[in-house]
Amino acid sequence: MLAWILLTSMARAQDCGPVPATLLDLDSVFRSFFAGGDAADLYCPDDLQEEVDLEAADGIAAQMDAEGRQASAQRLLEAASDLGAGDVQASANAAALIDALMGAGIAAGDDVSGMVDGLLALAESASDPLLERQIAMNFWRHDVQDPRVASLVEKYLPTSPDYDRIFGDGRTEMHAMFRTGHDGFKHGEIRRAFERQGALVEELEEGKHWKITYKVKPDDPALPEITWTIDVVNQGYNSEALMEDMDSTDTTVTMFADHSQLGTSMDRGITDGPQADASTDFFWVDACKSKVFASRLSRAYPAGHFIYTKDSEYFRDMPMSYERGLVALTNHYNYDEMRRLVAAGSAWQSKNYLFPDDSQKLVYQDQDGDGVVDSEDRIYNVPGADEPSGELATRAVTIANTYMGYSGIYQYYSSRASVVVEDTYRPDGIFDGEPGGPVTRIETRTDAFGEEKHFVAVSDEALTMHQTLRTARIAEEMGAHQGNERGWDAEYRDTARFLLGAAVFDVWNGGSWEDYRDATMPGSELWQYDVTKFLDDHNFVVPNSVRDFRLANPNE
Amino acid sequence: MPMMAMFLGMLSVAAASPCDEATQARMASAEGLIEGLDEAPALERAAVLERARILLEKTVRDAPGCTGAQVLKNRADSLVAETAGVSTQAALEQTLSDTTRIVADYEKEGVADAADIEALRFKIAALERRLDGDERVKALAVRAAGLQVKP
Repeated sequence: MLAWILLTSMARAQDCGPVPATLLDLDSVFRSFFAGGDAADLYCPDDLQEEVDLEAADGIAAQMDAEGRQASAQRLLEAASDLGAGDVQASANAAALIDALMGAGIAAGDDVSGMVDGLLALAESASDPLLERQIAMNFWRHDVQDPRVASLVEKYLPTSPDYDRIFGDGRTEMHAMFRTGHDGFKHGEIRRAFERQGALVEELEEGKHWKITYKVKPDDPALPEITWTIDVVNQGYNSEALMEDMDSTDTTVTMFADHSQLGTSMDRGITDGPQADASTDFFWVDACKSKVFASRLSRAYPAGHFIYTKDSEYFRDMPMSYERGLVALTNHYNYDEMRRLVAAGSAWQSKNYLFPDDSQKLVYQDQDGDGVVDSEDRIYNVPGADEPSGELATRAVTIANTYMGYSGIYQYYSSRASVVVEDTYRPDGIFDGEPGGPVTRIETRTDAFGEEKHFVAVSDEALTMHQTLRTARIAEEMGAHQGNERGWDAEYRDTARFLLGAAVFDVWNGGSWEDYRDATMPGSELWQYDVTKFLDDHNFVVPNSVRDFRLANPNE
Repeated sequence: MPMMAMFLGMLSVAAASPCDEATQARMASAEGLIEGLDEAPALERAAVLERARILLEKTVRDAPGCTGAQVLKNRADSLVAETAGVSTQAALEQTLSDTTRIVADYEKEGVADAADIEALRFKIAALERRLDGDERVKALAVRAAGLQVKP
C-alpha cells in the first residue's frame, strides 16, 4: 500500500497523464514491475501508449529470480489478453516486457516454456499483424527451439517458396517476367543463358521485348514438367510497372535485373505498385546492392519473397541466376537448395544473394518504421499517423552505407583505411535534433549477430529533409565518424566527409555541384574546380574520378 | 486368401520396402544426371551434380532404409570438389572471353561511357583476384587502362 502511494505521488510529481479505463489492469502490472528496480521514477501510466523503456526493463528482469520472472510474465499476459484493437501499443509494450523477462530467464537457465506459450497466444490473438511479426522476430533473436515458434518464424523468414501460390491449381504452363533495361539487353547474355539449356528465344522487338519458352523437366519423376514463358522487357529502371504483377495470380515469378541507381531505381515501381499485402510472389531484386530496397519492399509487400543482393552484381549473372531459379522452382526446392544450385560452380558471385530465409535481410528492414532495423528492434512501435516514417532514416543510412562501399577513399587508400567499411553501420532510431545541429548520433556496440557495429540514430529534423539531402548529410557524418575511428588527421577526415556527401548528389558523375554546395554549405561560393584541384593536389580522389568530373564540366 | 486381398498385401509390402517404386524412379533419375556429367558443358557440370545430390538427399530422407540410394548419394558427394573446379574454371574462362570481347569493342569505338569503363575495370579487378598471375588478365588490364572516356 505504501509503495502504491509512493508511486502514485511520484507519478503526480511527473505530471503523468490519467490511465485510460481499458489499461487499468496492465497499468497495475507495469507499476508493480517497475517498482522493483531503479527505474520506478521513469514510469508514467501514460507510457503504456508510448514505447516502453526496454533497457530499464532488462535490468529489472535480470535482478528477479526465476519465480518472480514467471509470476510477472503471467500477470502481464493476463492483463494484455483483455486488450482490444485500440490498445496495440500497450499490447506491444506487454509483449516487450515479457520478452525482457524471457531473455533474462534464458540467460539464467530458467524454464521459459510458460512465457513461450503466453507469447504465442498473444501473437495469435494480435489484431495488428506487425505485433505478431514482432513477437516472431523476438523469438528468432532468442533462438527459441519449439516447433510452434518455428512455424511462426517461418512466416517471416520463409524457408521455401510458396508453391501453392506459384503453381496455384496445379498449373504447368507458367508465365514469368524478366524486367530489365538497355544494359541488361546489351551486357546480360540473356539469350546465351537460356539457349544453352535448350530454351527458345524469340525477339518480338529488337532490344525491347523478347519471349523465352523454357521447358524444364524436373529431376523428381513425381513432379510435372513445367513450361515457363518469360517476357523479357526493356522498361528501364524507375518504371512505374515494376511491381504491377504483385497482385496477379497469373504471374507470380519476377526478376528485376537492372541498375540500382543507389537505391532510387525502384522508387516509382514501389510507389505506384498495387496493394497486395498478402502476396507471396517470388521476386528476385537483382540490381547492385539491392538490399537498399529492402526497407521499402518489405513494408509495401510484407509477405513477398524477395531475393536481394548484398554487393555489386554483373548483368551476365542475372539471367544465369534466374534460369537456375526457374529450375529450382520447377523442382520445388527450398531456399537452401535453391541457394546451392545457384552457387554450384559457375555462378560468378553466388554468395551475393540474400534469400528470403536469410536473417541478414533483417539488417535492412524496418517494418514498423521507427528507424531501428528489424534485427535489432525488440519492440513494435505503432506508427503515429502524423509523423514522418522512421523508415526514411533506415533507408538513408543503408544507402549511405553503400556510398561508403563505393567510395574511392576507402577502396583505393587501403594503406590508410580498411576497405571493409560498408555495412558496419546500422540504423538505430530517431532522436530530437537541434536545428542546424548534427543529424546523427553514432555509438558502437554489438549487434544481434554478435558483431561490433556502429549504430546511427537520425535526428527528427533530418526526416523532414529531401531524401538526397538527408542521405548526403548522414553519409557525411558517417564519413567523419569513420575518419575518427581510423584516427585520420582532420584534413583527411573532413575530405572523407565531403567526398561522401558530394557523391550522394552525384557530383562526381556530372550532378549539380551548385545543388550540393547550396544545400550543405549555404552561403558558400566555393567552386567545383577549386575543390577538385585541392583534392587532386592532395591525392585524395582516384584519378579517374577527377578526370571524369572535369570531363563532365569542361568549361571550368 | 482371396486373390484381391493377396494383391493388396503385395502392394503394401512394395510400398513399405526400403527402395519402393518411387524411390527407385528417383534413383534412376539421379543416376542419369551423374552418368551424363561428362557430356554436360563444363560450365554446367557442378549444377547438374548439385541437382543429383539434392534429389538423392530427399530420396535418402524419405526412404532411410534404402541403402542403394545412400550408396548413390555417397558417389555423388565424392564428385563435388572435382566438378566444382571444372565448372568454376569454365566460368572464369567464359568471363575472361566476354570481357576481352568488350574491351575490343570499346577499342574499336575509340571511347566508352565512364560508367561502362568503371564496370569493366571492376570486372577485370575481380578476374585478377580469381585468376591471380594470369598473363591474359594482366594484358587485359593494361588495355582497359588505356580506354578513353566519352566526353
